[in-house]
Amino acid sequence: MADLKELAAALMRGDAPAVDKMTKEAVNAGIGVKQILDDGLIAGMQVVGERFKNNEIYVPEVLIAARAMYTGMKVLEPLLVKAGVKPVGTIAMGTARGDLHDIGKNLVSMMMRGNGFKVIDLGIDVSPQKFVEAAKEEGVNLIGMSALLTTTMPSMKATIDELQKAGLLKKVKVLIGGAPVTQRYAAEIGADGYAPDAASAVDKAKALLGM
Amino acid sequence: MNSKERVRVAVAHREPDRVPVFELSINSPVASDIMGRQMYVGFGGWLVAKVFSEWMAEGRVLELALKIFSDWIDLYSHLELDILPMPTLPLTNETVEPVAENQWKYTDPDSGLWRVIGYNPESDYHSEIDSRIKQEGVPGLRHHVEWLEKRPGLVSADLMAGLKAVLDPARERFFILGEADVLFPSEASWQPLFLECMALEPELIDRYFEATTNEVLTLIDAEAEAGVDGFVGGVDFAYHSTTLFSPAMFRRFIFPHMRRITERCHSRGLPFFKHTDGNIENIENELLLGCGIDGYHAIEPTAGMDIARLKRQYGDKITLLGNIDCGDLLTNGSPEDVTKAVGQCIRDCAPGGGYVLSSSNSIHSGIPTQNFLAMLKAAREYGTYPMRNS
Repeated sequence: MADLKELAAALMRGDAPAVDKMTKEAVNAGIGVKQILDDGLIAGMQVVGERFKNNEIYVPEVLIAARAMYTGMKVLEPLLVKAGVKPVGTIAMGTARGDLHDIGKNLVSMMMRGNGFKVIDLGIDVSPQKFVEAAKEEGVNLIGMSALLTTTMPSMKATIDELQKAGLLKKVKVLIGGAPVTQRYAAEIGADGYAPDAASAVDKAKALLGM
Repeated sequence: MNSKERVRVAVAHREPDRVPVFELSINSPVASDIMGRQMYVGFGGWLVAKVFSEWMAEGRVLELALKIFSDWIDLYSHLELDILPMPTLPLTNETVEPVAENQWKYTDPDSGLWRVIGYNPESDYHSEIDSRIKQEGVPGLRHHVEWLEKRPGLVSADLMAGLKAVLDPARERFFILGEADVLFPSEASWQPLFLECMALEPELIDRYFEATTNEVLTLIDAEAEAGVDGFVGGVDFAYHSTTLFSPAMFRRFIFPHMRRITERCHSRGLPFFKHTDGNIENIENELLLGCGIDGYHAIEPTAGMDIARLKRQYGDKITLLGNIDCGDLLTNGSPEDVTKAVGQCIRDCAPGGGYVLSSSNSIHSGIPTQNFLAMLKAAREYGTYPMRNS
């Protein structure tokens, strides 16, 4: 009998081949795909997020756990679609215009995916207009923006202004982060939320969506 | 007292005539504003991505290197800074070709490795956005390590002679810092791959650091011969909340090589200052006291690095450099805010020597010139020994 606790444990130690094998075993054992996702992959990634937030593990351990998670997701995704399982939310993520540094944004994406969110990765150097187009897409209820540089922070405000003009701020919540960004700045520019790190971003996203 | 003496006295934990002043870099927009002409200095994207790429493609590397040195020395002389770090230079054998607007591909003809550099004019930022190693993953990194292990040394007689010549006009005026560090690839597009390999392929990472540090040791010898007065290591090990990897990984991968570097510097009678962004509290004691470093630079207050506490804890053993916040204060504050922060920092850290004033990273392209000048003015105003309130 496939053990989902073992699956979560394999994910936490970044053992991608084991996650692949155990996910397939769980599917073959007839365990519901949603249960494998929730009690295996998401359960593991949530522990990874907590440990990362508490500085008990670091970026390398998160990266290998995420890689293992993607291995399992690859097995589950077609089955999730077939079963009609919806993501808990959909976030369109990108770095602010002018910002070419994406490791922080990618860590947030991993944590979001690991918590059942669908992530639309808009990449780096994303213009306000591109964020607006993404916000219009069906199902998108969160916009995530990061900035590493003080010089690109104003682009976050420009994006929020454009979302406002397009009447999209009722449809989407805006979450921002990045090294120079603060809660004070988020409040100043009208962002709905600020997260100081990747794991907190998930908590904040869930709170913004009333979960 | 000249700059060289001033820094030496401060690093020896005695009080010179005034607190020495330093900047690791001053980007071109601020430098040009100060000097009233286009300055080819700093590590902003305009210079390091656009100008480097365009001039290299035209075969004008030597002309550019000389221009950078000349502007660098002019700027640091004009601002009466005490420490002159080695400027960012286009030192590479790679060929360069444009691949898109504000993107250039660099290819090393010997190893076949390539990388793409992107530049954004709005933010004056540049970054490696793609590379063969990133595309190929672990086999690409393995190929890179094998190449590092077998490639010929970087130091040539020509390079040595050139370095001596360009440093000549600065030698008497400044305390000159060469570059040396444990080369964690913090700016590479394959940094995430490298971090994964630290967990999954540790022997490969051991080989990477062994090979790169071997090269760095030969560079230390060459720079020492060329007449530098000390070294700074500019590789970032941390971000705003903590280090990029665990203390256990530092013990395996970084600290042994850091000790090799500081021992080599000390064998030449030269100090080594370690720069890093971010919060290093979890490795602080081991890095600052266990690796033989002589100074810690940047000390980002917004990352929680409290320089007054560091002074109390380590101030009699190492020199502290930096801490004037360039993330928010120098960027968004008023000159009065800057003056106040400089006064506080000097009161906390300067008594007894062992402190060099600088920003908490560099004078980046988003800092208003008046704030940078206010910082320098306040450094003179409050930084004269003996301290009035010490």
